[in-house]
Amino acid sequence: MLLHIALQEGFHHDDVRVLVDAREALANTDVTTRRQTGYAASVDIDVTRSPVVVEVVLSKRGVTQRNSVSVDRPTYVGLSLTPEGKLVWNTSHEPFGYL
Amino acid sequence: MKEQDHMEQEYLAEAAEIARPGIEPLIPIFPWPPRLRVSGLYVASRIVTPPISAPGPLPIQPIPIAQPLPGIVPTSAGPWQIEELLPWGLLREELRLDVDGRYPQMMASGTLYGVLAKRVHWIARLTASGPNAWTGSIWFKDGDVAGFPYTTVDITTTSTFLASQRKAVVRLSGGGTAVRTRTLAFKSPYFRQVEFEFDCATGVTATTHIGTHDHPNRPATLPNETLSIEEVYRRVGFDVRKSGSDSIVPIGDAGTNARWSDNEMHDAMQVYWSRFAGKAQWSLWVFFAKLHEQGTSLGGIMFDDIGPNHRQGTAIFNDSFISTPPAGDARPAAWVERMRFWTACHEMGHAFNLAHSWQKQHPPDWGTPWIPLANEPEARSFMNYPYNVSGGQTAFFSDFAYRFSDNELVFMRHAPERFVQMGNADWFDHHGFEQASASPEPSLKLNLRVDRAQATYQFLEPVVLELKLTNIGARPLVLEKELLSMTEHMTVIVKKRDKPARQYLPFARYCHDQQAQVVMPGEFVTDSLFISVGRNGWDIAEPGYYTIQIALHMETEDIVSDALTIRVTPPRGYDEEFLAQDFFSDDVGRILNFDGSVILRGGNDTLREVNDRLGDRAVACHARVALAAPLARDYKVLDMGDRMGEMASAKEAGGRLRRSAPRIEEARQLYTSALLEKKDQAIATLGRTDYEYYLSRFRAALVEHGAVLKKEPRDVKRDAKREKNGDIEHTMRVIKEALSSLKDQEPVSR
Repeated sequence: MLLHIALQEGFHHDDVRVLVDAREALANTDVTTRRQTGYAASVDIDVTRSPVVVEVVLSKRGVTQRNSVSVDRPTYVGLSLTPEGKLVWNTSHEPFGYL
Repeated sequence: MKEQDHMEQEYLAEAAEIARPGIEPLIPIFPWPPRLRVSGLYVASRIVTPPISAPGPLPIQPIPIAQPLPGIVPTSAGPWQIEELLPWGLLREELRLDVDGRYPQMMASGTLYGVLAKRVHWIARLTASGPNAWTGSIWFKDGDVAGFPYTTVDITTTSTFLASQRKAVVRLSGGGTAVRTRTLAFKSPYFRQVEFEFDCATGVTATTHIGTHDHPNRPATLPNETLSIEEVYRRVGFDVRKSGSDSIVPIGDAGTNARWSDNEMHDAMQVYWSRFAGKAQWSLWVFFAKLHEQGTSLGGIMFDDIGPNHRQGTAIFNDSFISTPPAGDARPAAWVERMRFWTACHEMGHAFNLAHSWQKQHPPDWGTPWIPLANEPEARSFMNYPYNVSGGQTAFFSDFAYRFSDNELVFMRHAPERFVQMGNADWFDHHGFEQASASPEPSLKLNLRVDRAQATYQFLEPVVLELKLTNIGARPLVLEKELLSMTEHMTVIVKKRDKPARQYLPFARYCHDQQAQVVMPGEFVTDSLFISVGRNGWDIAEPGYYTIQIALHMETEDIVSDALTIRVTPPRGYDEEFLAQDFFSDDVGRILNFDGSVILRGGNDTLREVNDRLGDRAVACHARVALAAPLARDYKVLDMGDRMGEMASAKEAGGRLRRSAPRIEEARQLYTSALLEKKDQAIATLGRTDYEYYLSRFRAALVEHGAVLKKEPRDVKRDAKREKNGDIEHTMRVIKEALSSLKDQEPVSR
């Protein structure tokens, strides 16, 4: 089943690791949001069980967060940083669109 | 065409608009007699030669009376008055009056253009003061504002059916100077002019019109009309023209995958846009294509953040998600057309330097945070994402009137031209423009100064500003004693020419005991600000011109300084270029900022190299002071043993305080070289405030280490007063006396 994880608003020269059930799914350095679109990077993962544990590590900010995500149908997880540096999770069953 | 004819044509064009469906009439039918719309652009032009000051009296000549040129409105005051107020000749003046018509913002903005590209821009919020009169406070100034002290504007308009006879009288006052009154002629019902070109990739159709009632989910009060992209921007206040060269871009230019990358679109823009030029211009290329290389998730993009002229091109992707209507939508084809039309207006908004509705507030390292706007996550604006508001796109379009938010309208209508115009300010630079809450009659004035005749700095030379806050009111004021050293109350902006502005963020904030001081009318307080480097990195480093401006946030108002422009000269030679690689580091920045460190050894090595190899340059003076300070006294260091650099508490790491003994002889040599040998150069580069501070530290160190100051008891009080008053010569005499006494005592404490 598709699990799409998108890094969206607020990233600025961040080093980002995303792990799904402890396996590395994305490891990007110098991630910066393109402000015209609010999009920074994304990864599609084919998962075989549900729920999965998604862990996000922002090493420069000293932020690590973990969430259980149900993937019983195609699932889209958007990760954004607020101006205060707080990581916000947005889960949807519709693909994200950027403008 | 004569200017007069042009104005008549404008009037005819304006009258023609009355008959267009769905457009608010410029001349309303009711009430009767009709009241003409007065919003729009007013102009005046006059060439003024700056007066030449002569060494002696000149023979009195009759002053020739200037004859108005065709289309130029005589002003009620003579040109010489302008010269007295502005330090440069005035060539042209504009007023944008925004009090009626479509979405009135009750604002006025003016621009005064002078010789040598001098310019002042102001914006005021208005309230009606009579049938055709408005008054308001000026809340924003930009440009060469030194000769523009005004704080209040009063505007009176004369409306007639003849466009050539319409005018606005603009009276500027406040700021402790004479009232300035000028009359400007009506030029256009629009504030600015812009040109669009719509090009399509092979096989793609551009959606540039929409029937506002084609989709049933809409506001009940939405007029039924055919709305064009041009009309959307006319309602913003732009006189929209088309280039007349809309064309087809062959799909082969997108490469073999037929999807467009940003670079491919930028290349296509250069080839197919009839107006492409490497300069700022009120012209925009809009490209309709099938897909971006990012795929269906990208509906459109203002792709042009490439090269020196941003925001000239924008693209819409017809085969992306914007062409997928929600399941079960009542009119899917109309939904798709509306979404494509909406996306085009949205992407074009980015080209006018508008951010997304939720991006107006952001951390300073994202871009230019000049007193940012509040976020508008629920705005029914072209700049919001319809599906991100509460209730999703259905809620958005049920309440969407095909418009921009008020803040966005103010920005596009009234912000300085360079913030908005395509190809001018970089994308996202200055988008966060908003007002400082400056008082119309401020009681304080903040000046930025440097201790030198010309604000020119050598390469590598750190910049230290002198801040001077003067009570310009009529009453005594009670201010915090350390107000000017409390940087948390300040927004400090540093902008290198042709680069985005940056906010200076100090390394440290200081918590002072609250102590008040009374500042009488005309009195002032001063302090210094070391501005070259902070948490943001080196804000002033490369050669070029930098503009600095500070807003001091007081309890009830913001005190905004005039802008100070400084120049950093190119490196003198290879030595400076080579050392720059190590000098512009975080360690060196911290050492200079905190007046020394014994921990940051790499930075200290760099400063020693600066002292050795660039001893005659101004930067060496800063290096010597920073190297001397920690040597002149006992210095306590937290020793974390093997765990130095780890994130651990001192207790966990078994940390202990270690004392570093002073090396007073080395400190004496460095301080003497920095402060005494070339006093004037030291004052110029360190700033008078910091120079006095370092002198007093030097004197204290000498006394602490055995220097004897021979003084009668009555001299002590007098000396203290002289030092308090910044009597540098006196302090230097004291230091020389102390040095002399040290020579007599051997050995010196080391």
